[in-house]
Amino acid sequence: MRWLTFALCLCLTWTARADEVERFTLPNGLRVVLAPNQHHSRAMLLVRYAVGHRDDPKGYRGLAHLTEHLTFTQLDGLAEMEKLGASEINGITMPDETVYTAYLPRRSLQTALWLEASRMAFQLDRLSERQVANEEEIVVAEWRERRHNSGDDLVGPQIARALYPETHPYHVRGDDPDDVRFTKLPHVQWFAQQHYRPERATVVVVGAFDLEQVRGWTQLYFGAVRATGAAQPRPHEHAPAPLAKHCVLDLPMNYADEVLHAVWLGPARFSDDAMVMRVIERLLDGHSHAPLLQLAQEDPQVATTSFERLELELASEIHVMIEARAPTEAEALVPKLNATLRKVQHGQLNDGVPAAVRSAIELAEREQTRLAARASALAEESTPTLAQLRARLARVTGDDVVRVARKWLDPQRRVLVYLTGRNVDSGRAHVDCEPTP
Amino acid sequence: MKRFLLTLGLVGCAHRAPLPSPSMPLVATSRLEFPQRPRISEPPSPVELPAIESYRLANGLSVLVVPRPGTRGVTMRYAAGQGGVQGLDEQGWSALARRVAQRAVLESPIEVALTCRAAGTLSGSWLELDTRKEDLPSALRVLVDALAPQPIPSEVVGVAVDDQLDELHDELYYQSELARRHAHQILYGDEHPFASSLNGSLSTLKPLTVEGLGEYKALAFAPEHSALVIVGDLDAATLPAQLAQAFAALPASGRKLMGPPKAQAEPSKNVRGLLTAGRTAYVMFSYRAPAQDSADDAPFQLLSLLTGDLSASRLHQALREQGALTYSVDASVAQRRGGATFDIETQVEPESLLKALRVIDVELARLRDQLVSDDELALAKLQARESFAQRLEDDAQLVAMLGQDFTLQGRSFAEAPTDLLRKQLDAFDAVTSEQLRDVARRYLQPAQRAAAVAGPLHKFQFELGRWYEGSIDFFAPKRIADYLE
Repeated sequence: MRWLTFALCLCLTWTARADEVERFTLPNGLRVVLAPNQHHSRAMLLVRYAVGHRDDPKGYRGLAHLTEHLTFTQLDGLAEMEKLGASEINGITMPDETVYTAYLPRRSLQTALWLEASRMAFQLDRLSERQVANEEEIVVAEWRERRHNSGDDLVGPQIARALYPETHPYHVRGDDPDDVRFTKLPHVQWFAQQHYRPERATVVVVGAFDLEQVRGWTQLYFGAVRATGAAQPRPHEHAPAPLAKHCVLDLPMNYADEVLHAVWLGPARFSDDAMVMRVIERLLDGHSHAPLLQLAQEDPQVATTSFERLELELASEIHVMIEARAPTEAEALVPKLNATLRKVQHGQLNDGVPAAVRSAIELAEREQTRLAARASALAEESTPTLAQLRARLARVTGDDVVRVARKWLDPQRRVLVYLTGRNVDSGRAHVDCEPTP
Repeated sequence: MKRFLLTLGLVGCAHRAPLPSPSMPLVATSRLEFPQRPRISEPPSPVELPAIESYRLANGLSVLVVPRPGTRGVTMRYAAGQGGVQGLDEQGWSALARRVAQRAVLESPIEVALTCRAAGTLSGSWLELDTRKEDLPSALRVLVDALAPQPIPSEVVGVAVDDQLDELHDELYYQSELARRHAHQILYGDEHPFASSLNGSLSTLKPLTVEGLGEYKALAFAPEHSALVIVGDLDAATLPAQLAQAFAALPASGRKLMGPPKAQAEPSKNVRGLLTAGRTAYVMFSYRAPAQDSADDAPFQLLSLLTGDLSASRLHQALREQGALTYSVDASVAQRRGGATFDIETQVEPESLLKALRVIDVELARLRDQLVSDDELALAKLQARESFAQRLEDDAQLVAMLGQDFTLQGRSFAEAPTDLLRKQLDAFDAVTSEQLRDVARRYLQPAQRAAAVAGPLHKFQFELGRWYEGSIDFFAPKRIADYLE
């Protein structure tokens, strides 16, 4: 044990920053981010692994998600965390990453760090085939609920297939129940060995804690996890250019009203264009007189509207949803969507750009006061600091807004989804894509 | 035939390349070398309750203020005491009044609110605004303008009615919503507001005139039945004068709140099977539960945690972790003025319904018949306490908590609000395992249960009949238009 402590002392690299964030890397490659803030009475612990749906091997869709579930099974994790008084205990598998979070009383932080370190150290060595089979049924039950009730596992994968080329890591998204049930114990153990390793992980602690104490605990517990060799490179593609086709998907959903869902590939996250897109979001949807909200309030055919950005590691997506009022059909909403977007593409909203910039900055500031959001931002090394965000957003001009809206929200380069109850009995999806001329 | 099946199997697996085996040993770190699990020696620190200033304005409005210098901006909630609990003919009116008020804030020419949320329950409605510190005086004026009795433009009412009907329409597509509605109809009677939508129905909204809505809105947001909760970066010294000035335009209504009609006697048929969209069988068990001001409330809240709210709870463990019958299982208490309802919900494959229902029966019987262990009781207390502490920390959750206390209990805050919060915490600490068993026996008897199962009825009707020996009411899909009526 002594050699380990000695090695830690030699190899730690400290990078304390002005905004009281301490970052260091342990000799085993684990990144640690500590951001104490005594305004809070509790702390948020977040452990992020660079493994997600995109790492599912072909024919094993859902392996990353099943592995995430099983790491809880091995630890008796949720219940153990509850005994520590933790709340917001969660594990979530996303396209790029798997993230475990818990909101903890100060006194429980040490044990929670030990639990997370043992999740990383011992992976799935004590599981049985029976436990794997049991958890597979729970994952399939989750898929069933999401597919048939919320529709998430139907719409998301269909959009991903239309949006990304077949070779792209995001082309396939979500679980496949047959694949999940095919999985055996050695598969998940191999997968955990490949991905649940310190050099692919980041530990973040934010909120109320003693910096020196927590630094010592992370070194002691996570430092004891040995690196298992160089991590294999992940499948990688550069951020894609704007979509080169126009697709219409007619998906059967048991919704009361028909929904038009338009999706674009957006600029790479944290790029200059992504900053402008934040301002566009505020212009279109961020205040009571914004055109998308006005559409919902004034057009009798429209029930609700929303504008969302999904920022992933290799790409970002922009989703605009317009829910029709029955008996209006989803197709009838397309001209309304186009007219709304034209306002920003033709500079008609440029007078509102300074207010939208201010609003985007305030939103970012408010987000940072929430422990979960702050922990999540800190886990990603490339996330700009608040000061950088402020400075970059403040530079956005009306010309930028017009240019970015024309480039990324092009009506010829998007996926339009009609969610309707028309084919709900057959359950069939109709997909029609054409290359952009 | 066997060959055919074999071929199918091969085709089915052909797209899967075998994965490499894990290298041995499975883990690089020896368990012997790994540090021992630390023991928690430190006792739980006391929950830090916020300092809450409370006072009443001349119009009767209760004001609760929690200054938090250094936070970004201010969050405020106007919590009105009139919710959906009211006469049968007025159902949906409070939701409509709230929509009109929210729209007035959003439509204000002065943009002061970063966000304006509005929602309601059976026991209250509220508007919630996030604003900047420097905009607080203007935000208060905009809020008062939105609430003050004044003619409502008919087009505003038209849009609000459209929104409300649309939401009502949406509700009827959700298995959970239909199952809940039917279970609560068994408990309270078909037409009772506890068993209806907050959005009302066409028959309750149709007779409402624009003038009638104006009058109702004046009652719904009457200051003497409401509380304003403000949390954030504010100047507590100058706030009373700002409030007095802004709220001078909102006079007291001098009217009484509308109360709920009497619940009907429980019908003898307390199990329903519903044919709805969806491929799972959605199970809803509902019971009447103690009101928030009852001495039974604290033990019942802990019982709810141990029944199905926690991952370590009985139903979570038995249905999900051991049985692998479901992904989601939940137990929750919905509080309202004058009563509460306890719901247990889960969804399973129709073929597994009987097994799941029997598991729930067994676990509830254990809670009635046996004392929970000391560890379970300690866990429930710890979780109740910690979730309480967590809500205190977040501005939005704190305004919700204080606003909810007001709307549920109509508290006048004659006692210091901080003392009330302390009492709630102390009540959790004082609960014994005997009290838990006692409330389980008094509230969770099979005869007190209302059960509704929604989904593909033909797939689970037989299973439901095998589980319940009495008579079951079955419901075919009702036309949406009928529900709306």
